[in-house]
Amino acid sequence: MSTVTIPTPASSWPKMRGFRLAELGVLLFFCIVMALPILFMLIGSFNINPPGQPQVFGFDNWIRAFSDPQTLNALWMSFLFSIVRLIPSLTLAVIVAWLIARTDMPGGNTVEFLCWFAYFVPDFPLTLAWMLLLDPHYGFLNSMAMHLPFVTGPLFNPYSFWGIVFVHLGTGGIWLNVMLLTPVFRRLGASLEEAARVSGANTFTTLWRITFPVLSPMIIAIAVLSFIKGLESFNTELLLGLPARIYVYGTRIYDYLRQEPPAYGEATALGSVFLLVLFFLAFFYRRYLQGKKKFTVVTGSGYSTLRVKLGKWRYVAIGAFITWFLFMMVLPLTFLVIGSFMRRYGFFNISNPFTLSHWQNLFGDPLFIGSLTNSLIIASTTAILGIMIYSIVGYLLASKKLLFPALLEFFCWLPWVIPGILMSLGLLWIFLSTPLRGVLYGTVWGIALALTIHDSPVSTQAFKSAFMQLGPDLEEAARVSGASWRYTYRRILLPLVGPIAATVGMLNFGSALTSISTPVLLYSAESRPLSILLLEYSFTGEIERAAALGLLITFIICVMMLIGRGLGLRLTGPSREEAKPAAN
Amino acid sequence: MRKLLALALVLYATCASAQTNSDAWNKLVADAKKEGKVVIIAPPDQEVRESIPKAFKEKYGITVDYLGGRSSDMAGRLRAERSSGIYTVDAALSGMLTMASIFYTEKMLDPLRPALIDPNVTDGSKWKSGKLWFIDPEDGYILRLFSTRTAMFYMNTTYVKPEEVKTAQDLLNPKFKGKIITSDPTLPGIGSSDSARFYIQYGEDFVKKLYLDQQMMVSRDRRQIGDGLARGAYPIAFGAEDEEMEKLEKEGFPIHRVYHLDGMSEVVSPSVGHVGLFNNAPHPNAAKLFVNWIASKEGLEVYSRARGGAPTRKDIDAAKYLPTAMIPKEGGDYFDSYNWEFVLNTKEKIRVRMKELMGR
Repeated sequence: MSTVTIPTPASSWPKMRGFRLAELGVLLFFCIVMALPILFMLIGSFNINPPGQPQVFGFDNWIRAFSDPQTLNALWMSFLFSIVRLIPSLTLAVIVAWLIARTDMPGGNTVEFLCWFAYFVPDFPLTLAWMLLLDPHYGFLNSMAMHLPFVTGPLFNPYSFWGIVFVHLGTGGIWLNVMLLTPVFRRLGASLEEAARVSGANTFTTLWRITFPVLSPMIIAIAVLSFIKGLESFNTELLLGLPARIYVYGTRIYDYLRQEPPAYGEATALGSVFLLVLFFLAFFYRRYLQGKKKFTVVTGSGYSTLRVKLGKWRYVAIGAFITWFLFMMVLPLTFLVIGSFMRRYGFFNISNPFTLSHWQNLFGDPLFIGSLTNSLIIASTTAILGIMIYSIVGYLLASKKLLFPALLEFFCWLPWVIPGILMSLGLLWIFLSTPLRGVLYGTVWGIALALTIHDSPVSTQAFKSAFMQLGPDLEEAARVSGASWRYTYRRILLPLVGPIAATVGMLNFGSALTSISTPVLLYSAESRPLSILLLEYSFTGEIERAAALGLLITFIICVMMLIGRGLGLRLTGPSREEAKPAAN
Repeated sequence: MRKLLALALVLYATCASAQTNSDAWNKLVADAKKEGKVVIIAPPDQEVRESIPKAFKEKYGITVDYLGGRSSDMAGRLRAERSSGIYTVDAALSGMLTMASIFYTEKMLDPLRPALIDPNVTDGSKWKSGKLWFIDPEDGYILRLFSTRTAMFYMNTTYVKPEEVKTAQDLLNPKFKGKIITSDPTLPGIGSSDSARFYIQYGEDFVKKLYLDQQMMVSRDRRQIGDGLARGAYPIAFGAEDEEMEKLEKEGFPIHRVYHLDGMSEVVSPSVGHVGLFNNAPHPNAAKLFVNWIASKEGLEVYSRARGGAPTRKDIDAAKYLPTAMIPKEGGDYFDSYNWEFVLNTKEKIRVRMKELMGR
C-alpha cells in the first residue's frame, strides 16, 4: 500500500471562498454558453420581420405555431410515444444494470460492453435495416412468417405506433440507460443490502426496498433524460411515421426548420414547450431530493461490493439477455454490415449484389483522412473537457452547499430541451460575438466546446449521482487529517467516481463522433468531422457508403471503449473475481 | 479612303478592347492565384464535390473549399456570420428556392453580370437563350446554368405498363390506390412542385382525389422512394431524384420515365443549376474567377456531367453524357417548374393549402 502524504491543513474560509468562486464561475460559464443562446433564440422568435430587415417584435410567430390545430395532436402523440417507450426501456435497463453490477450473472462485463457497442451503432441505417426486416410488403421476417401455418398476412408493420416504439427500443432504447446505471449500481456498497438480508429480506424485497430507493436519484434523472429525448425524437418517426400519417411534435419543429427560408421563430416557439416540461420535471425532481440523505451508499466506514448469488437463474438471466440482444441488435446489424457490402442496400435479387466499392470509395474519398483526424481531435477534447467541467459541476450540485442550486441544475438541462439545431444556432451567435471567435468559429476547438456543452445533462447527472453516493465522512476525515479541498477532491473523491468519469468520457467521446446537429453550423472545410461526411452521404442517398462509415465510427468507439472501460474497471475497486457472493 | 480609315479605327478599337479584356483577365487570374482559394456552397453530391474542386485546381492551381449540406442550414449560418460582420463564403451553386428566397432576398449577393468578364461567357451567342439567363427580377444576380427536361414521374414497368397512364386522370384508377409514392408535397421542393402543377391545371378536387383518396405514400427520403419503386411496393413514384433512377436502371430495374401526359406541358427544371456571387467575398478575385469558370464551356461541362443536368450553353454537347430525353428540344413548349413567380408565390400558396388538405 502506498503512503499518502497529507499537506498542511487549510483553513475553512479559503475553502468556502474557493467553493463560492467555483459556483459563481460555473454559473457564469453556463449562463454564457447555455442560457444566452436560448435567450437569444427566444428573443429572436418574437421578431416578426424577415431576416435582413429591421427587427419588429410581436407574437405572430408564436400565434402561427400554436394556432395550428395539428400542433396539439402532434404534441400529444409525442407525449404518448415518450411515455410508452420509457416504461419498458427503463425497466429493462434497471434489470440489466443490476444483473451486470450486483449479481454473479456470467459475462457481465461483456454484456455491459455490448450495450455500449449497441448504443453507438448509427440509428439511421439501423432503422432502414428494421424496415427491410419488418416491411409488410417485402420484410424478411414477414416473408418468413408467411411460411408458418395459419399465417395469411404480414405479422409485423413498422409503419405503426407500436412499430415505432419497437424500433426505438432496438435503436436507442435501453442501451444508454444501462451505460449510465451500471457504474452507479457497481458503486453501491453492499452494507445496506447485507443488513436487509440479515433482517430476513429476500432478494426481491432487498431490491425493492433498499437498492432501488437509494439509487432513485440516478434512476429518476435517467427517466427525465429519456422522457425529454423521447419528446424531441423525430428521425425514426419521419421514416416510419409518415406512411402511417403519424406526426410527432419534433416533426413539426423540423418542418419549420426545413422551410426556405427557415422559420426559426416558429420552431423556437414550439421548442419552448420543452422548457416548460423541464421546469415542471426539474421542480419535482428537486423536491424529491431535497433534505434527504438516504442516497449515500459509499461511506468511510467499511465498503464492500458483494454480489447477489443467482444460482441457476444466472444462466436464465444471461440467456434472456443474449436472446434480446440477438434479436434487437445482431439481426438488424447483420443487415447493416451486409448492406455496406451490397451494390444496393437490401436488394439481394440483383445480379452480383455484393461489392467492396463502398468501402473503397469511403477510404478513397479525399476528405476522409482529414475528417477522421478532425473527429478524433474533437472527440478526445470533448471527452477530457466533459470530465473536467462536469465532475466539478456534479460535485457542486451534490454538495448541497450552493447558493443557487436550482439555477445551476436548470442550466445543465438546457442543451437537451431545445432542438439540437436551434441550440447550435444559438451557440453560433455566441461564438461569433466573442473576441475568441477566431479560435472558436469554424475550428475543431469550437466544435469540441459546443459538443461538451451539448453533453451537459447526461454528464452532470451522472457525476452528481455518483457524488451523492459518497458519504460526507470521507471528506470530513480528509479535512480532519489536514487535507486541502483540492487534495481531497483529487486523491479521494475523483478516484471514487472514476468509473463514472470513464463512462462520461467514453459517452462524450462517442457522442462527439456521431453528433450531426451540433457541428453542422460550426464546421468549416478545415474542421469537417466524419459525422458531417456521414450526413452528406445520407443526404445524397448513398446509404451503403453511409453504412460503411457508420460501422467504421462504431469500430473506433469500440476501441476507445475497451481502453476506457479498462481504466474505469481499474478504478472500480474489487473485481468480479475478488467479489464474494452474498448469501441468498 | 474614308472607309479604309473607318475600318482601321474599328479594327484598332476591337484590338484595344480585346487587349483590355485580356489584361483584365490576366490580372484577375494572377490576383486569384495570390488569394489561393475560393470557398463555395454547393450540392453535397459526391461526384460534384470531387470533380469541381479537382478541375478548378488543375486549371488554375486554386483550392476550392467545398461546403456541401442542406441549404436551410447554410442559410442560418450565413445570416449569423453576416450579422457579426464575418464573411466566409465566396460563391454558391444552389437550387432556385435557396438562391431566391434567402441569398437574393436577404441581399447576400453581389451583381454577377459585371463580374463575368470572360468573352466566352459574356457572348450571348454561346447560350441557348441567346443571352445569359439571369432569373432574378433585376436580371443580373442569379445565373441559370441547367435546364433539364425532367420526368413528371417514374414507373416500374414490371407492375405498371406505360400505356396504362396516358393522362393525369389515369392516375385516379382504383387499381393504383396505395401504389403511388411521392415526395412530401407539404415541404418546399419537388413534391410541392408536382402537387402545385396538378392543382393549377386540374383544381383542388383532383388533388384531393389523387393525394388523399388514392392513399399516396408520402416520403421525405429519396432512397425510400427509389427502393419502393424498385421493389414494386409503389410502382409509380413522384418526386424521385433522376440520379437515383439512373442508378436503378444501371442495376437492371425496369424504370420508365414519364415525360408526357396528354393535356399537360412537359417540364424543364434547373435543379441546383444556378450560380451566385456573395458580396463581401473573402476571396473576391478567386470568387470572380470561379464564377467565370463555372459559366464557361469547360466549367459548366464539368458541373453538368457530375450533376447530370442539361447545360444552358449551346457549345456543350450534353448528348455525349446525358440521355437525349433529358435535353430539351429547341423551341419546345415546356413548363418551367422553377419559374420565379411560380416558385416564390404560386407554389408556396398551394403548398400551404396542401398542408391543410393533408391535415398537417
